[in-house]
Amino acid sequence: MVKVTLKSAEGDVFEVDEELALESLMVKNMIEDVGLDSAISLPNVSSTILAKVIEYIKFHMDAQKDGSKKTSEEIKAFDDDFVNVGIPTLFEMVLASNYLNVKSLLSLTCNTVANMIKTKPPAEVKEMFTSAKQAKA
Amino acid sequence: MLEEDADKAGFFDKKIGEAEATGPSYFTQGTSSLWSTDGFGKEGPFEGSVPTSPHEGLFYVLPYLLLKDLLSVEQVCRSLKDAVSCDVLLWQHLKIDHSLNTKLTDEALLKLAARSQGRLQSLMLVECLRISDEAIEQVVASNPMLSRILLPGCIRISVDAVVRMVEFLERGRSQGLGVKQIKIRGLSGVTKDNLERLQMLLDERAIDVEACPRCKQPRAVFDCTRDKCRDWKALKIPQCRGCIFCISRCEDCGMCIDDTDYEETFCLRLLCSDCWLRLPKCLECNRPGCESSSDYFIRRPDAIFVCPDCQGAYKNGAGLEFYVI
Repeated sequence: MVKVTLKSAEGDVFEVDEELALESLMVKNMIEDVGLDSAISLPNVSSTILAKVIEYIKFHMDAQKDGSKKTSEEIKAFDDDFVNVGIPTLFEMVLASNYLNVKSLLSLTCNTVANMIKTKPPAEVKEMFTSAKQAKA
Repeated sequence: MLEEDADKAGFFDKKIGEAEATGPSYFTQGTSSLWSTDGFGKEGPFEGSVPTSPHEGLFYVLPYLLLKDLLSVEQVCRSLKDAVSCDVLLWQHLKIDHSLNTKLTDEALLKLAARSQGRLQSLMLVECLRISDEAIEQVVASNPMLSRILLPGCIRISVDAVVRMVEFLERGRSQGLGVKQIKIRGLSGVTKDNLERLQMLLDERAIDVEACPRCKQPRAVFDCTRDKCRDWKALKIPQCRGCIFCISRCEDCGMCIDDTDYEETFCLRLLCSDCWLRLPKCLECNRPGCESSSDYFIRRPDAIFVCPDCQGAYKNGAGLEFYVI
């Protein structure tokens, strides 16, 4: 199995299967352009977020394989758990999945935020994001 | 108030400073805070707002929001207002459903449609009772790229106006434009003549109304979802197909209920016994809700509610309101 080396913003190195890396259209284009010899540098993605993105792609690749015993409930439970993080992390995953061009993760994270905003008046939307920031700070 | 705001701004400044000092990367530096203090919000319409602007990630979420939430988000601060109202892509498909339809006026519709800057592609108005022929024709005249006009239950709009709009839009057929779908169910004056006119202009499947095979009136015609009725050719029985006046159907699953038990919902629609068992019911009268009467929460199997009949609730003339306890 061919491996691809991904380098996060902090310079941490992640070695993943080529098949997994190709799920990111951005990485796929990079591989087509520069080949597999050198590490692919991702200056816009931090190590924590990159690890999360890899975890997500890996789970869904396994779930799609033939002979996978995962039910749609299990996949949904994984997704729910995966986005059950603070709003700051969620936003970073939105940016990362947009940058890496992973469509399914972008729609999962964006839909999660959209559901939080749903039916809330402006004051509450503002409150929600501001308090999330204060909680983090 | 000013002092307090300044305090808050100072607080955020400090925290951002810290984040930058400890932030390991370009990525976290720019985005670790949800609201950065670039002073955008100061002049924003939101009173007493902290002078901040939203996280960059929020802008990617905008295409995933429904109209009502978009209108809510744009009031949060000026940068969001600009992002929402100036992004043509967010306004190419305009859908006004039960959450806003009673409030939508001609004026509001024109303003919302103008945001697409003439590039509106689909327009869906569900039971928007206040929208008139003039407003909708004005929208269509300034948006020649419209391909779907869905107006179910907009009783003030006449089918004659729809015929005129379709004729106008079909002129663009040679440039690859033209109408792909229209919904005119529940409009005033659906007659055999203007239905035939529309069927001449468009593919029959593009129109949601046709002549009922039983009563021959121009109405919405449904196929049955019952397995036996679907198999009508093999079983050599008459096809179970007709308007709701000719064949009663379950509101939820669409099965004909001529020969089975049925129940009424609190909005007086019919349900088959299977769907009746499945749907959540009013605490008081034990009648279930159906899709037409509620947008989302009654559909949750665990929803507990009291129906508007039992509540006696007509709030501010805004139509039926549901209460979750």
